[in-house]
Amino acid sequence: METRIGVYICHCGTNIGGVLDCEALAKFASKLPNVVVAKDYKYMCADPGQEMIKKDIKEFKLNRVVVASCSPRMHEPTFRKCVEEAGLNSFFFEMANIREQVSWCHYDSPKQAFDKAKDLIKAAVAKARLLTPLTPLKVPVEKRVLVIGGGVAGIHAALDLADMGFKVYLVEKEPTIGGWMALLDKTFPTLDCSICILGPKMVDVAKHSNIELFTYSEVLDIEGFVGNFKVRILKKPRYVEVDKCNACSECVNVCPVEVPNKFDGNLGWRKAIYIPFPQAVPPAYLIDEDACLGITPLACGKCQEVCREKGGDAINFDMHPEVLEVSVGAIIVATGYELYDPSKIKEYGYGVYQNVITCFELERLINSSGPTYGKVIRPSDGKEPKKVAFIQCVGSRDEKANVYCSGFCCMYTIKNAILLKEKHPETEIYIFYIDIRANFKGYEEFYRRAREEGIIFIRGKPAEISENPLTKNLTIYCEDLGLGKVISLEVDLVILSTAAIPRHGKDELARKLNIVTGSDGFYLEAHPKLKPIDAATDGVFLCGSAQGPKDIPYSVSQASAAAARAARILSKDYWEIEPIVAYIDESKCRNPKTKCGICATKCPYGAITVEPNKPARVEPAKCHGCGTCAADCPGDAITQMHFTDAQILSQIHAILEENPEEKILCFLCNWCSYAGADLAGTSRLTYPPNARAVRVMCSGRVDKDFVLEAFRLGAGMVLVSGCRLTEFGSDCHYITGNVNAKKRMKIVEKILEKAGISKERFRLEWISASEGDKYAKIIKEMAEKMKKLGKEKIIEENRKAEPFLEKILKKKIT
Amino acid sequence: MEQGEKLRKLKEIKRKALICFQCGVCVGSCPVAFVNEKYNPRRILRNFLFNQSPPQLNLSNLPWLCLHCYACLERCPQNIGLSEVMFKIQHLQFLNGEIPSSFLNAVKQIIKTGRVSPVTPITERRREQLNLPKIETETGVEELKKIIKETGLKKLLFSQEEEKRSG
Repeated sequence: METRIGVYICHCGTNIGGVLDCEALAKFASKLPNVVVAKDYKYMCADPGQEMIKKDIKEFKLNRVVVASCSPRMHEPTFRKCVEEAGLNSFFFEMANIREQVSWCHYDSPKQAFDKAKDLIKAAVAKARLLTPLTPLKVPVEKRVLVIGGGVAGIHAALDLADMGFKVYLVEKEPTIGGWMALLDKTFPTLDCSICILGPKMVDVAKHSNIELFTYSEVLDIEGFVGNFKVRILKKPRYVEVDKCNACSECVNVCPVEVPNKFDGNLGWRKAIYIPFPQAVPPAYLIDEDACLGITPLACGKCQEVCREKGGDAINFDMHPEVLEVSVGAIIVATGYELYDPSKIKEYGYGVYQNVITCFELERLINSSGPTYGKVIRPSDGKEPKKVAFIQCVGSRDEKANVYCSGFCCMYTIKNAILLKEKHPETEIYIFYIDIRANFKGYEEFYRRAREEGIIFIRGKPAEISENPLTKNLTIYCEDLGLGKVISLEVDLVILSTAAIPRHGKDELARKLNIVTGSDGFYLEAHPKLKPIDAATDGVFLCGSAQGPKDIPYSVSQASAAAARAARILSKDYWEIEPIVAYIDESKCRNPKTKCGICATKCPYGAITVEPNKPARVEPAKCHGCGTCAADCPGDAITQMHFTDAQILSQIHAILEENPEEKILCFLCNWCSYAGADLAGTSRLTYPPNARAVRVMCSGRVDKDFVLEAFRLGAGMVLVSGCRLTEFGSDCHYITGNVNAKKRMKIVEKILEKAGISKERFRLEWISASEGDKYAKIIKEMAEKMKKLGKEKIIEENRKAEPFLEKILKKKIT
Repeated sequence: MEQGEKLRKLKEIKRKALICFQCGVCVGSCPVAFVNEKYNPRRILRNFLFNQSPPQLNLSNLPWLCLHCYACLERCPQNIGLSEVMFKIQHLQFLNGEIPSSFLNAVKQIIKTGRVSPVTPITERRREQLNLPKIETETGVEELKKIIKETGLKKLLFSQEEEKRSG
């Protein structure tokens, strides 16, 4: 079919029309190949403008539309919808940005601005010629959801979704749900009893007809994508049948084995057959396989005997690990946190001095269902302490352990101090802190209450603790910053407020889910501000402390948010996916012959599978369309739809057709650098008009060949820019696209050096969407350098480099 | 050049002062602060937050009390390393001519004799009584002088002497 293009130049009032001669631009466009009609109009985005396009599509039988107006980041969706309404595929549309990147930033040099606008229109028409129709992918959605982790966050997410009518599978590693919260005594700042408020919720989970609970279970593996995850769950044997056990505890009395109880912070003891705590859900006992004298072959079996004697038959030694498979449409990760091991900080003597304990151990001592039934005692002699010190920030806010602030330790320390003071008002309590973080509702008031009740706060991080070997009392050495003096304080008991750290095994789960962790080790959200609940993989959501340390109210809010985000998918029958995904030409893929597999290692989303002797395969539903694989494929077998090699090369050719040695060709990523360039225009920052931008979704899409081809065609300068990449991390919208771009451009630099291209003619930069000034500055610098080098030298270098570059690019030039 | 050197040192110290969040673990760990209440390394560093240009530091002899035991670096949650900072402050003070006289005398003694403390007739008599061999005077002093000249220490010391004489 003949390609018939319509080009529309927008005046945007005087925004464009005041600087550029739009009529002349339309006249120029009308002479470009395949252009059937070219018009200019005051406001293309207004209804009459859109109607004009629709009318022309019918009248001139147009099958491609190009609009030269504002940034595609502004009105691309508007015009896509417009051409779709006229019966064209919405991807048969292309935009030339002559406002943000021409008239708004080059109003001081209208003649050069006009040349730039011509180039951009020419490039857009060139790309339009090669556009292909695309339809959004639709995947069916399983109306079920998996929640991993049964702490307070997981419980709330599960209940919310179950109440909405979705089937929920709740997987918990421990034999009971409830998490840390079930083990706490009271909660801050209201001092309501922790289990009293959580217990009923735990029972709700067990009773809810839409929730299937898997305790003592783990996620084995996960396959699939948004709407269609296949999950295998390993159910470990309890050796006690949950339905038959009535928790009478007769078995515990006869069990001969005693081991430390980790649910009591190892301060108390439990038997080999046990229940984690009285309010556990499901309310059933289980046998600890490692502690039991022997199950296969059976060594003791006393528990079974007594259970049968009492008329029950709950104990079953023939249980085996079971693997179950479920299909879900979305996954919520609520795996929570662990506590830092303070024995790593030698100067505090945890594990050496008996009377140095952790906050969690105190939490169990103070809890009436704990090992001492709520009596706080010194581990060395069982006596009640008269003088107690808390030390804050043990393992957090510390470059040597964890850099971040654990957030909730200040508040639980204040809570425990108040509880101690209320039980035994004569106890002297000291809290050593660096800063007190009390920044939510009622927290500051709670902090004041603690001071009013006589708790002494000392600003200063203790240097060390020493023990009196006879009394087992402890002396803390610390600078009191208020006094500016070093003090030594003898106390009976020291409590360390240990940092919250990511779960052991979080990396393994991250691999299974294909999500990433941040520099702090907690799971990373897709965007810190606007997608704080979504993980990088579509259909996976984060809540609670798995995403970073947080207290109960914050965890619960996040759990409800995660439930709502998941319901956004689950409530639909089909989920639509942008079709700008990667596509593999199986005949070109080298994997069957050479075991290549490079694409799979580059994909940040695990969307590509590579099996031996088979061509690589893309799962479109997992692909986010960054194009990194397409750029790194050594066989050029991968195409990113709507940003194909041919389309981008056609833009490069169009831009560099005339006087290439005077131009700076810029490859800018859509989310940051292109937006940054737009911002330079919006802020009316002027910069030299030699720059011409080619928009790609991600800097990871920029193929080596694009840069080399630009120089082969005689480009003066080339800039590649992506989202910010610093030593602190990457802002890339495709996680690691810019990291891959950086690696690739290092190779390009070497090739250019060999080709004899001056080093300063190629530049790699990281420009964020807010750095319009940086973009303008960089273009200014590059233009100055280009002037310094001189046209002659550039032409001479290019002439010499051409044969060398041609050799490398042989396969691309057709 | 000396001014530039001073500014650079000052900037390095200030950067550390900016990072410090004033927890005081260094002071609690410091063996000098334990016996001398006046010596507070945290406060010495904190003062640099407000020094905008190369000042006469007027820190007296305090920074020279640091033993460089590195206990503070071992425990500092922000890896500031006050021992290293104290070296920089001492260097800055040296450039400013704020050196404790005892320290300056020791340096001069080394340049002159190659020893920290002079060999007096009392020492010689005592050694004789103890049947110890006689001390050879001026061991390796020439080589030492060369080193001190090459490293620029001599020039620095000399110019300060000049300044003191003229001022």
